[in-house]
Amino acid sequence: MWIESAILQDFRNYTQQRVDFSPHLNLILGDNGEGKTNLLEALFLLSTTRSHRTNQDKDLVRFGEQFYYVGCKVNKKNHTERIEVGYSLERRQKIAKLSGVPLARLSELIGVLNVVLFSPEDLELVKGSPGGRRRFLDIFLSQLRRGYVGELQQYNKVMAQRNDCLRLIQSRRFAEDVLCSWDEQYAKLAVSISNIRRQMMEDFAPQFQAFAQRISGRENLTVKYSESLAGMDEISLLRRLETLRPGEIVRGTTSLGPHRDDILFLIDGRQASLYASQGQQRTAVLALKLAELSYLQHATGEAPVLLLDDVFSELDEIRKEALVGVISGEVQSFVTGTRDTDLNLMQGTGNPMKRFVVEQGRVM
Amino acid sequence: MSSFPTAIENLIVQLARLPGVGPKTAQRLAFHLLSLELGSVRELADAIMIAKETIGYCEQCFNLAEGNMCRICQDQSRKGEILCVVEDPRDIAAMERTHDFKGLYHVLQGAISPMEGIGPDQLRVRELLERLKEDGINEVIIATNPNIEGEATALYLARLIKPLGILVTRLAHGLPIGGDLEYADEMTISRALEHRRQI
Repeated sequence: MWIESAILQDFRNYTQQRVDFSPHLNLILGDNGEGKTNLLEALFLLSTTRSHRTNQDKDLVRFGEQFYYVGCKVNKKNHTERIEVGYSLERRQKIAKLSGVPLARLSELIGVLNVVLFSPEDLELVKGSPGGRRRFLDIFLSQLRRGYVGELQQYNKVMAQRNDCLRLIQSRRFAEDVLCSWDEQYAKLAVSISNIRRQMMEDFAPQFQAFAQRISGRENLTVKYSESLAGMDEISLLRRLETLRPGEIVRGTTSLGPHRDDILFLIDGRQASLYASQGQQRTAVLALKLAELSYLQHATGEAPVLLLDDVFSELDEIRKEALVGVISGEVQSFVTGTRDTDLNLMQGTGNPMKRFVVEQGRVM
Repeated sequence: MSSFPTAIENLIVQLARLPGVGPKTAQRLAFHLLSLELGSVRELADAIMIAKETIGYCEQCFNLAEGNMCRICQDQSRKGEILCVVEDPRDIAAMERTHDFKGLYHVLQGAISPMEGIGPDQLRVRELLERLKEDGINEVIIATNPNIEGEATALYLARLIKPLGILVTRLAHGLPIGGDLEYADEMTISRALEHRRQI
């Protein structure tokens, strides 16, 4: 799939902008703070309904304005789709439309336009908090499987109620037997989400390893799903929750479940978060993103769009080449950089490309 | 803040407290009321007062009732062996529209929701258990809402009622009649798949 064009209105520092893109490589150049990342952010939002930089939609509205609106036209295998997302500051309401039809839920938009984003923040993925890695997993899975987001939201709701229930039992306002009614729903959702994640990671790990091998040439870099439930089924989880109950009531939080999952990166079997060098971390993240792209392409039958935000300058020649190898394929890519970076390698791809220069919220 | 006389201002504030009524609607309603004849306004005011003064809860099922017992509990033709448990009196109205259910009801007046501090003690659970001990009830249909709070309530009640040797059933989850499969959401379809039945 590829993005034919996009419209941004009062989004970040853009007033009103329409851009037509190349199906292959789109180079977005400009000085810092001019709006290169904002353009990629808009495309990411059209894919996931959220920004990758903030949870607050009010931050996305141009200063002094009341609404933002972003839209794009996506060319898929057999047809085109129009995606629109708008937000009203006053009503604090975000709405999405798919080819003109308003969607009852924002999450219905996910999976229409698939993107893989690689931004400087991702370089923290290996050594950063598990939350960042779970976020990666969840965005990845939500693009792969339609029902995943709904199930995850349901899980979070049930867990929030269960945690409140634990606290009310702790303060003796609830009897302990109320918890059972939450445990059953909780166990069902927890096991289902773990199963989905485990299955996907089993398929994904070999692809990751292959990319890591190709990029580094030597290191034995692998990825492993570290599962909180460790393969438990509903019945064994319920039994385990019973033994954990006294401690859970004291702490008032749920101690076991997919919200405690992690992805482990291993170098020769050792945990990369403790030992990885800067270079190895970059290899890991790059392999992760490239494997994600290839996985999505095979699973959905269409290549996702690749968004590379300012990462080129962070990579050495070998890693750059690995990336360019992908860009020169059928994948539509958006690459941001300052005016004087990266051009030589890019031109080597031989693919038709389009250059844009961004200045103060305007694309030239 | 506003240039209206105090009495109008007060009326608007009162109306705006109603569910689903915002400041603009409240203002429109207030001006409409003022434009009516005195008799019509008095009828409305009386209707509100009379409803409030005469309607209470049925002492058996906690449905809304005029007097001590609601019409359904008073109706001798209804089967006393089947009890349908709902969250709200409005759910009874929904069930009654089908004309398919001939048993009696029990209104919980809510669902278990720890976030809102609502547990079994805040609901009519104790009264339900009392009823089950006394009467000759042999089936309890749990018709709480198909959301997580309604589901938790159903599971909680089932655990309490089953040991009494009473059959406990739950309304089925599934696809809406007359709808298209392609428009149903994933959760509904996977539930419908899970609870599929032989034909």
